[in-house]
This record gives sequence, structure tokens and C-alpha cells, in this order.
Amino acid sequence: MPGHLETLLAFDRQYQRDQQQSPVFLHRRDRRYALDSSEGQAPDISRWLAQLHAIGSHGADRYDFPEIRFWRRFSNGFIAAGALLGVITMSGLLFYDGGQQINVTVILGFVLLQLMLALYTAVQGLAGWQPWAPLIHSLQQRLQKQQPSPALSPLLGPMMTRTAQTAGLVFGATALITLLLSVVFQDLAFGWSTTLDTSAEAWHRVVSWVALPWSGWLPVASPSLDLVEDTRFFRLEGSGVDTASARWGAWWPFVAMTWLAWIILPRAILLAVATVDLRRKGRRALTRHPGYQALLWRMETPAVDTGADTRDSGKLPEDHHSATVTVPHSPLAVSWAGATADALLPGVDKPLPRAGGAQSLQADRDTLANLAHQITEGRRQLVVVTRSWEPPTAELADFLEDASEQLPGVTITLLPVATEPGQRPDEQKLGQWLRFAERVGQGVRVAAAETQEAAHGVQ
Amino acid sequence: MVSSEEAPVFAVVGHPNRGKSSVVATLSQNDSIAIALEPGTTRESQTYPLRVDGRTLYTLVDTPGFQRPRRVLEWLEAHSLSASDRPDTVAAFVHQHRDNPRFRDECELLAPIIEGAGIIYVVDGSVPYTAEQEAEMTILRWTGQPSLALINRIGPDDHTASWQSALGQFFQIVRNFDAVRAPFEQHLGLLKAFGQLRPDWEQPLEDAVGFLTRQREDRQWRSAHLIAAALAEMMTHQESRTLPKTLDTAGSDSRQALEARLRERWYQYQREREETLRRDVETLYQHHQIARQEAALSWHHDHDLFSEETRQVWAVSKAYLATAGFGAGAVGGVGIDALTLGHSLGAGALIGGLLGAAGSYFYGDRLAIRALSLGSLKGAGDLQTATFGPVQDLQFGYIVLGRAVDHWWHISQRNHAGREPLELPPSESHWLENLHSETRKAIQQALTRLRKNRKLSHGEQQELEVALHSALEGYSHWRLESIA
Repeated sequence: MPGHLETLLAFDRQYQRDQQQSPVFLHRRDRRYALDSSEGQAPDISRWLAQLHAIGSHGADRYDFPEIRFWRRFSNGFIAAGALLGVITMSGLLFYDGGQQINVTVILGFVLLQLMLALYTAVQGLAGWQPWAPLIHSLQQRLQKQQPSPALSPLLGPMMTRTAQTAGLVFGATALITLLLSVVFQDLAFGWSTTLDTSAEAWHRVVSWVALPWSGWLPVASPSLDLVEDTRFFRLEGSGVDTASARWGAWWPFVAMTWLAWIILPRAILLAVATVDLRRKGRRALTRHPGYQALLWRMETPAVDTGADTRDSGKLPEDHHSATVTVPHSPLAVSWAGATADALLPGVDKPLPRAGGAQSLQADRDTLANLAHQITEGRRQLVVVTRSWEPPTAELADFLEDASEQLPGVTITLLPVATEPGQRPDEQKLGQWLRFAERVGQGVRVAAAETQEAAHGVQ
Repeated sequence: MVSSEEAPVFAVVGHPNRGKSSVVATLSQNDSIAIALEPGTTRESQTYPLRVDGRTLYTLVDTPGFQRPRRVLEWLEAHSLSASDRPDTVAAFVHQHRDNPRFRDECELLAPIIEGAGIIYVVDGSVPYTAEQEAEMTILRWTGQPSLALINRIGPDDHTASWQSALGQFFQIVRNFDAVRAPFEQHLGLLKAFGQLRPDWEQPLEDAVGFLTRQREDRQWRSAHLIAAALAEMMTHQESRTLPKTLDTAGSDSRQALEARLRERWYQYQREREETLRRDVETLYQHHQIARQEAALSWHHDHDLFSEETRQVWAVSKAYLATAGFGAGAVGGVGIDALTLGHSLGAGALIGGLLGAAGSYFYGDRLAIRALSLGSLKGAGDLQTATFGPVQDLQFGYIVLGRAVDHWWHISQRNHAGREPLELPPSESHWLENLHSETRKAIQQALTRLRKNRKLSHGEQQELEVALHSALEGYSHWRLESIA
């Protein structure tokens, strides 16, 4: 089961991968996941990632992050240093060469310092201060040749706090163990001493306050006024000769409990706070990740596919290879689907015979039969007048085929006319007729009204 | 026949080149459908289903046009005894001629209809009605399927009235629909009309309308998100370069050359980032073909992000900048011109014109950019970093915003049947003054933060997106009012 840091980094890694994907695909994929999950359930990023990894091929490295590895190593080193330092510190505090007692005042001062440090670490973590961040970054760069992931940067503070509190806890624990071992294996003489003009009563009040948490149920670790009075020592006066040797050792339960209650316990509590804080900030970093809202949107929003990605089967028309010709002189002429070309066909009887359009097919055949009777040696040209803006259909192709069968030896010319009488249709419209004539074959040509640009007409 | 559980299918049929594909392109939001192809080259029907979470709500079938309607009708009339057998006769025609290449187009277009598809018959309302299309209308009537006629005006002329009376004799419903220019609400109205053809089609079409409406709202939110992100990146962008420490004399040639290089790179970045935003918004609205057309458009200098004209069009007045957060909306554009005594937009344009200044006038001197700054590079004794940017001028943010919102509006209003190049003609910037004061305030605050090179927090980012969403809404209203 991955931790929340691993989840965050895995999510970030997936987010970076998804940048390359099309939004439509991502929406479909994540909506699919949301629909497959049971209804009413809040989206679970870990499960979402697990599903992606289960389907995908990158399962092996799913939760292997150099950043996490670095932090584990760094934390372990820090904690080990804390443990070692705990032993050394306590050994130093308890250093006793028989010449002078171990001053409980010094130990209390050290405990206070530790407490302050623990609180400072906690405040620093909660406030998000990162004065040590450049150090960590340079260390990471040196060890791993890479910068920390930006996804992790808001969590560096809480992570460092947790590491520091853990190290502090281990420090306290190893120091306490050192104390207990020293008590067992050495003859330690504790006392208290201060330059200040303090009475034993005042000092007793201080230690009673320190021992308040346990004085009720562990009186042996709560020094009495007699013990305080008996164990005061002065550097120049030498140790109090009246005090029994065992009295000097009676302080150890107090020292151990002070260490436990005022160093280890606060560290443990603050470690718990740091852990909760890290978890909270980890969740927040995930929900504020730029990919998170987008993912939620994809999961919640129905994937509407309007068919926008369906490719059209149509091909763009090819270029035509032929050119228009001039309008033949005194040809036979027929009007297709009601097209008229009075100005372009001088000397041709009007109205023109009709074909196509709303006429029946039989009427078309009759028209062709009539035209066949009009063929003479000098009139072997048939002009089929069409509307240039109307697309040429297969029905016209059929008519041209019938015409070439029934009017053998006659040259058929299509004459697409523009909306303005006498004008040459634009090249785009003429293009479709030229291509149509090429498709039909049988020598069919296309004529167009002359303009200055159309001087390249073929006779 | 289509059972009630199956999603309705609509065959879009008609004479060749009458705008069938443009209707399908607009309704399916597909700008890759080839429109105005050579008749006879579209030989196969193409289906465009509307799917929501994998469930098909309806399917549009783009069909080839009628090629030999009179021959088909002749065959049908020769094989029918009475009106009651007409649908079966049409089906028989399709079955008999399925492999006949002469009737391939007719079989393709009639096949979905005899399988139960509704008929959407498309005609061009810009050409006069002629009786020649009656053969194909008669064939469609013989199929006995629910039918709707669409008058899609392709050209400038209007012969809608004559079409309407003729089509009314053949089809249950006759609607006008301009596939290129119809606004989104009309798309939805048309889909609802499809649902009227049969009682059991009403619900899926209603559902489809609901999903499409939500999709459009989502797209507006996502556009606001995209614009907010681009705005933040463009305003805080900095060009930097590492170089030896020897280059430190202010005013030296090498220093000026470096500044010019970084400045050019900074401008280049801004142009590219804006281009990316455009593509993102276009992709969001399923417009994939515009980029290609835009390249051919030659994005001429006058409309460039840093041109003088752009500045005149999209910059806001100093009064607006000073008062954006405090209810300046009450003062109209004219009022602002008068109040600022020649410092506002109109006067700025005049001054700019008189000086004949190009982009360098405003952007060299007046668009404050944090110019070249040299700083030492940590950990490298003889190296330093030279940085150029970020922009220090709020106007830059307003120019980027104005252009982005205008582009969004054109894209969101553009139908997928449109094949014209996207033109973004200059507009005017007074649209901002129509926005709600809260919206203006939020935009101003975000831009101010970005100007100070401060990263927007999660909450601030969201506030900006909400404000931009309102701004998009406001811009649409402003546009509609301007047109009206």
C-alpha cells in the first residue's frame, strides 16, 4: 500500500505523462473509470492509479521514486545521527570523575533547551519556514543529480519537521537508555549547585514543578525538600561530608523521569503532530495539484462524443486536365433541367428542346429522337445547356450516353451557363463540369462564354 | 424498423451539393467533413453517432446525393400496385439494386431509411424552387418514414418562401437552418425538432440537448481556466541567460546586444504562448482545421500581439486602471474619455497615429518590462545570470485578456460547417466596463499580483477563473448588444 507521498508523486508522474495525451482520450478514460467504480463513492486517487497501472505496462516502477529514496536515506542518516548524539550527550552530562557531583541544574537547563528546540521545530514546520531548504536541495543535487520534484516542494517543510522530530525522539531515547545504563553500571553522585543566591526551598519548588506530572503516582521520582537540602554542593567548600553517600544517588529517578516527561514525551507528541500535519498537507497538495481538479472534472462530466473525430470518407476532387472550348456555331441544342442560354447560341431556334429536370425519362427519349431527325451534314454538333451552379448528376451522364448512341457522329458539348446571362462561370464551377466531361468520356467537351481570360479555348 | 430501445437514426439526404454535409458537420461538431465535394465522389454513407458515456443517443447519417431519382421513381412506379405497398417497393428496389453500380448512391442513401431512420431532407434556400427535385421527394415520401425538411441557405439569395410551400406538401416539418451561421441555440432547437418526428425519439433527443448544453457550459469554464493559466504565464515570464561576469558595463555594446536578444526571445515566447492558448481553445471546441487556415492567413502585423493597433484596441484607459476595483463601471467609455482629458484610449490612438509609431513606441518605452538585470549565479564564481522581464505594465495583461476573450468568442460562436478563414478584426475594449464590478476587481487584483511577479495561490487562481468565466459571459452579451 503506497503512502500519501508516493501517491502524490505517482499522481504527478501520471499527470506529466497525460500531458502528451489528447484531452478527449483522457476524458473517456477517466469517465470510464468513474462509471466502473461503484456509485456514490468519492474518487480515490490510489485506486485510480492502481487501475491505470494494472492496465498499463509500467507496473514495475510504479512507486519507485528517487525523491522518496533520497528522503529515506536522508531521514535514516539524520535519525542515526540523533541516536549517536543522544548517547554522547548523556555521557557528557553524566561525566563523573569522582571529584564533583553531577549538577542537576545543568541537566534541567539542557532539558529546557531540548524542549525549546522541539517547539521551535514544530512551529517552523507548521508555519512552513524552510531555512535549510537550499542545503537539502544541493545535497539532493549532489547525490542524485536532480532537483526535487515540484510536486513535493510544498511538503519539504513538513517532511523535514517529521524527520527532525523523529531524530529528536531517538536522541531522547538513546540518552535515557544511556542514563539508565550509567545508573546501573556506575556510581553516580547527583547534586545541585548554582551561583545564584537561592534557598533550598526555592529550588525545591522548581523541581516540584518539574516533577508535577508524575509526583502523584511516582513519589520516588519527586525529590523531597530534605533531599534538596542535603544535596546542595559548593565548588570551594567540597561536598557536604554530612550527607550519606546514597543520598547523592537518590536523584536519578527524578532525572530519568524529567528526561522522559520533558524530552521524550513532547517529542513523541510533536512527532505525531508533524505526521498528521504532513498527511494533511500531503492530501492538500494532491487536491491542489493542477491535475487533480481536471481529473475530477473528467470523472464527473459525461463524455459527450458528437462524432467530431469521425473521418470523412470523401476525397477531394482531382484536378481536371482539359480546357473549355468556344461555343460551336449553329449547333443542335438542348436545355438540361430548364437551363437557358439565349445570348450564347445565336442562330439556334428558341425555345430549346428540353431534357432532364422535372420531365419524364420518356420525354427525354422523345427529345433525342427529334434531334436525330434534325442531323444534317453541316449540323453535327450538339450543345447541352446546363446551369453551371447545379452539380452534374448521373442522370445527365445517362442522357449524354443515350445521345451519343442515338446521334452517331455528333460531337457533344456541354455549355454550363452562369447565373448572369452571357457571363463566363467562375473557374471553380467550370472545374466540376470539366471533370464531369472527363469522367463521361465519349468525346464530350465543355464550352463556356468567352471572356478575356478564356482566350485559350480550343476550336 | 427501429425498436423503441434503439437510438434514433437520421439520414440526411437530398440533391447533391445542397448542404447535407454542412448540416452534419455543424450538428456533429466535426470540421473535417469535406463540404462541397464533387457530386458523385461521396459514394458511401458516413455515420456520426452522438454518444454520451458510450451510450448512443442518436446517429446522423451523411448520405450521397440522389443521382438518378427519375429512374428510381420509374422503377418504383412500375413495381407498385397501390399506396400501401410503397414502403415495401422502395425496400425491394434497394435489395434488388444493392450491387448495381448505377444505383449505388440511391441504395446507399435509401438503406438507412428502409431500416427505420428518420429523413432529414436538405435543400438550398438560396436557389429557386424547381420541380426537378420532386422525383427525389416523391421517393422519400414513398418510404413512409418520419421526415423533416431543412432549408439551408448556402448563397446570398433568399427563395425560402417558395421552398417552404413546396416542401410542406412532402414533409411533416419544415425548418430553416443556416448550417454555417446558426447560433448554438438553433442547433438545439433543430435537435428537439428531430425528436418531434416520433414520440419515442423525443426523450433521447431531449437528453442529447441536455448533455450538449452542459458540454457547452463546461467548455466555457475550461476556456476561463486556459486563459487564466496563459495570463499568469505570460505576465510572469522571464527570459534568462547565463554568461561570464565580464559583461557588466552598463551601456556597452555587448550588453545592449544581449538585452536585444533577450527582448526578442521574450517577445517570441509571448507570441508562442498566445498561439498555444488559441490552439487549446480551438481544440476544446473541436475546431481542428483552423490552425492550418490561420497559417495561410498570414497573421499580419497589424493584428500581432505587440502591434500598435492591438494596443489601441485592447488596452484600457488609465482611469480604468486606476479605478477598476472601485466601481468605475458606472462611468461609460465616453465618460472616461472626457474625464481623462486625452490620456484615454481614443486620444492614445490619435497620438499613436500622429507619431506613426510602430510597436516599439509603446512597447519600447511605455510598456514597462523589467529590463536586463544581471545577478550573480550562486555556486559559480565567474558566471552571472542575465534576466529580461517580467512585464511591469498592467496594460499588457488587459491586452492579452482582450485578445483571448475575443478569440474565444469567435471560436465558441463558430459552426463546424464554417470553412472561411478565422478573421479577428479589431474591436474595442469598452466591453470591460460592462462587467460586474466584482469581476473587474478580481481581474485587476490578479493582474496586479502577477505584475509583481507573485504566484497566484490556489484560491486566487480559482477566483481569477470565476472572474474570467463571468468576463466571457459578459463579452458575449456585449457582443450581442453591439450587433443588435
